[in-house]
Amino acid sequence: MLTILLVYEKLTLFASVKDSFVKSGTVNVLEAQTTDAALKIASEISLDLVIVAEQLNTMIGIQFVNMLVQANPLINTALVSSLSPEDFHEETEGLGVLMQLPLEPQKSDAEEMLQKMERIITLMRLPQSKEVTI
Amino acid sequence: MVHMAHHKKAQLSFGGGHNTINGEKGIMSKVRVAIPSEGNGGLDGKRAGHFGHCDVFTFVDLEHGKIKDITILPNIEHVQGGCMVPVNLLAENKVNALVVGGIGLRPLNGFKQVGIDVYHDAVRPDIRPIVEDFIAGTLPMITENDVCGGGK
Repeated sequence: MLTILLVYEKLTLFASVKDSFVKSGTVNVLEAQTTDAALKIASEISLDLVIVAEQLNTMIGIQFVNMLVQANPLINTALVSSLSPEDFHEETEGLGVLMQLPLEPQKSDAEEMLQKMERIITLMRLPQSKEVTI
Repeated sequence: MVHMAHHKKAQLSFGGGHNTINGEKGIMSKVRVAIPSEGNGGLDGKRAGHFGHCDVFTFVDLEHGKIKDITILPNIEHVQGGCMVPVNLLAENKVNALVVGGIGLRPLNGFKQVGIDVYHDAVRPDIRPIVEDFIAGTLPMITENDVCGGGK
């Protein structure tokens, strides 16, 4: 079971994503409408993924992701952004963002996020490769 | 929840040098240094510019300031958002210090969290002089001002 936090100001933004997660039966969905509330949740609960809107109540999404990475680098993030893929890569390089989301994320985006999370979890659990003496 | 490997922080430092492992002064006994490398790696190999995309990690095991053993460990597939995968890999393999040419904010914070010190040299491509400087204690630790990209 994954625990995923949705951080947004506009209520309807993640409706499709949330619906898809709930229907999957594999996600515990949490929600926060302020950055303070989101940071509080992140400090109290083990989160697998935080999905962030482009604009939040006190800052833009990229700034919030930056804060989150500083507070807990283990948490994966996905971010809504209107930037081109090239600019998004430039702006978020080093923050390890799992995925850029379109302005109106849909069910397919939710499915892709879950697939990417599954891949990362698999890689984290791979048996150690063997050291070779040279 | 994705679980990270944690290992005990090395409370060691290099006698006579400026480097300290995890900020503790003392006499070094054993330290494992990892260097992201191209191709087959090794002491006479070349460093990889992006640690997450390196072919192998060259491990240099130091004992009392002398090279005891050189081994290589193949890297794991790099995927977008998978910054913590190599952090986990190196922690599982008991690495104490990592030397990078560049690194992002998230993996840097991840290495801090698992107790691996990160050192920085963005200029020299060869592994051997980097190891020599590490042993001499003249290699600087990376700061958040040195991180790659938008995470600055």
